[in-house]
Amino acid sequence: MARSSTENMITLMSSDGEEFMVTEKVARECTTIRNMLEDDCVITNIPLPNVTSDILSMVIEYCMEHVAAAEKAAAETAEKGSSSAPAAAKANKDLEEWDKAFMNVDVYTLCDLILAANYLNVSGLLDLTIQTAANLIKGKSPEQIRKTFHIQNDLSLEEEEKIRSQTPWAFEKSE
Amino acid sequence: MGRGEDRISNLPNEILQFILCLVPLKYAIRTSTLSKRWRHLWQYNLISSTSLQFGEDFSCNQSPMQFAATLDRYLQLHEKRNLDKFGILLSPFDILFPNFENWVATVLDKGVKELEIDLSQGVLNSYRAYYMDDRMPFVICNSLFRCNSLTHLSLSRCNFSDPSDFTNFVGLRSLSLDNVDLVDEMLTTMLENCVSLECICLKRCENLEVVKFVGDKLKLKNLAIVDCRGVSDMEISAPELQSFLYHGWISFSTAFGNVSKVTDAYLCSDGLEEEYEEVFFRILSDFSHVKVLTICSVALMNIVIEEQELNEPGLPLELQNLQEFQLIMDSISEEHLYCVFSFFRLCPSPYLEKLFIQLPINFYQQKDISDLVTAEQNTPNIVFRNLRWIKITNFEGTPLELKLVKFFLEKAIVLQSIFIVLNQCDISSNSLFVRIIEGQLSVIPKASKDANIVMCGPFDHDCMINPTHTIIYHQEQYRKGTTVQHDHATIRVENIPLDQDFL
Repeated sequence: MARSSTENMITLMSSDGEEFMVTEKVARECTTIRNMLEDDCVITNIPLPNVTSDILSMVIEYCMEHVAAAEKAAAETAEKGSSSAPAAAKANKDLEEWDKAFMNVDVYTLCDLILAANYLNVSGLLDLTIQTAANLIKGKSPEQIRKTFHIQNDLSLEEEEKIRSQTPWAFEKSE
Repeated sequence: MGRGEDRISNLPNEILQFILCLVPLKYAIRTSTLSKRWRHLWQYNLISSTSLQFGEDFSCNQSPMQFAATLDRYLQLHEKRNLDKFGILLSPFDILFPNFENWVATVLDKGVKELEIDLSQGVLNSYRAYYMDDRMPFVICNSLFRCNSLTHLSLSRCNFSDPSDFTNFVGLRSLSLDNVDLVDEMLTTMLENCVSLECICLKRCENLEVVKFVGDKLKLKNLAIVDCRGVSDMEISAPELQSFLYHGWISFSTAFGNVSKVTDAYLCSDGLEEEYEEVFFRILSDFSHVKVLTICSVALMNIVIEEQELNEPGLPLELQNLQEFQLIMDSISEEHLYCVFSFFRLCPSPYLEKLFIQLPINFYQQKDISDLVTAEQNTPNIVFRNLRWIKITNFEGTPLELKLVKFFLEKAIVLQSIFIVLNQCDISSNSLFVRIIEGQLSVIPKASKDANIVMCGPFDHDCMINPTHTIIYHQEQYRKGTTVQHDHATIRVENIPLDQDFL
């Protein structure tokens, strides 16, 4: 929905007490916060006890980038009457590249981002992080996946062998 | 907080379930051996899928009994949930035919709209037409014909029980039959009953003799006929037809009525080059209005012969709408080059923009086509006024191939790029071989000063330009992998109890 340019600022507070001032528009990228704002429109200070400051700053960085991209696209459409397809395609590609670079994080941060995106309900970020995690699983052997995510194998050798032998088709030599 | 900590296993179930739904079933199953935590999580992938396709990996890596047990359990896990698509490929498992009826009935109960049954359980002979294993084909069960929800049906190596009733297939839009005992009358009945059919693909249906796709009410948009060797007569008059693919012997009588809406045609002969197939020129004349055309070198030969020996009055035949042309070369020799060059003289294509040439992969012998008079030593005087992109695949840098490149570089005045796809090697290694070819290509005079010569490897993504007809039936690959698709809307909301007893 179009809003006036006199933007409200919202303060988001991380679990470790750090405060982040963001525009309402950026904050609204998080559906959880949007719902809070819609329930109570005078609220300006939101504590987020489930998100640490380093993760919250990343979520905000993501939201700001995506809000800026959407604003830029909207401005271009308004200017030219209609958006030109090649320019829009390029903008999309640029944003995809940005997302890809943004996902260059260790698995530890990735998991925290997934949790934060889920808690704050940032659907774009949730899709992006979940897909990144899926890509780390796809095409790998169980051993490689364990190594990637530091998973401790608590199955006995016999148990593991039993599982494998029940569905041999899934355990052919890994590509 | 150690970076070596296992964070992912502590994520809530619904998130892990979502992650596992984004990987192919096979890899989701592999996570069942990660740890106790992951033992059953993969099941969400199966349970929430709306499309189950079991491919070669599924049928080739387990015994027939395991195959049956696994598939039974998967279908059981999926319970009464709907399926949109089901595909299955059976290797030589004819002992499973009784189970097969059950599987088909089960998935039909799940409201499947797209069904693919591939029972091509053996090795085809070198002509790809006949199976060498003497196995009896599966006779498709009658329950299939009682189903009226199907929109897509694909059958490979099964027979129809006789007489089959197609009256329930009114909603069928796409039909693909490979190695099915289809006879002329069945095809006629099918076309009469399946009034929604838009897409038909017939491969190796050996019993077909006279094929007719004729009628003002036909909705047929795509038609492919591949290696149906019994065909002696073909009549096509389909007002909505847009795409026509033919691969096989071309030595029968044809009648093309209304094919005016066809925009792309693939006309390739499977015959030997010594047997010039005279019908080719006539077929090409009927499709001279297409925008996209793929032909093989036999067709080139035929056209040159038509001129030299038969003084065909229809030549030159202008291809006035042609924008994309793909040429599949069976082999390459001086004579072949002569035919390529002559083709552009005999079939002028003034609006041609994209040209694709598939060179032969392994040609064992240089065929000498001594019948042809190749007196025309100077290449014909042609100018390509609109040709912007050329892609030549399986390039090996032989003198003949360089001559081919030279021909186009000299005559394409607005060429932007020519992509040379090398058959072998890693382009990035910058080997001597690559540098030699690059050197040879760089000295060829170019009519378009700005034309780029781009060298790429067989799997390079730099060669962004690809032909409309990507499947080349001369070198067709049939196999498919196992895939599943999910309806993501349901994944997040549905909390599905896990079957703990089942792996």
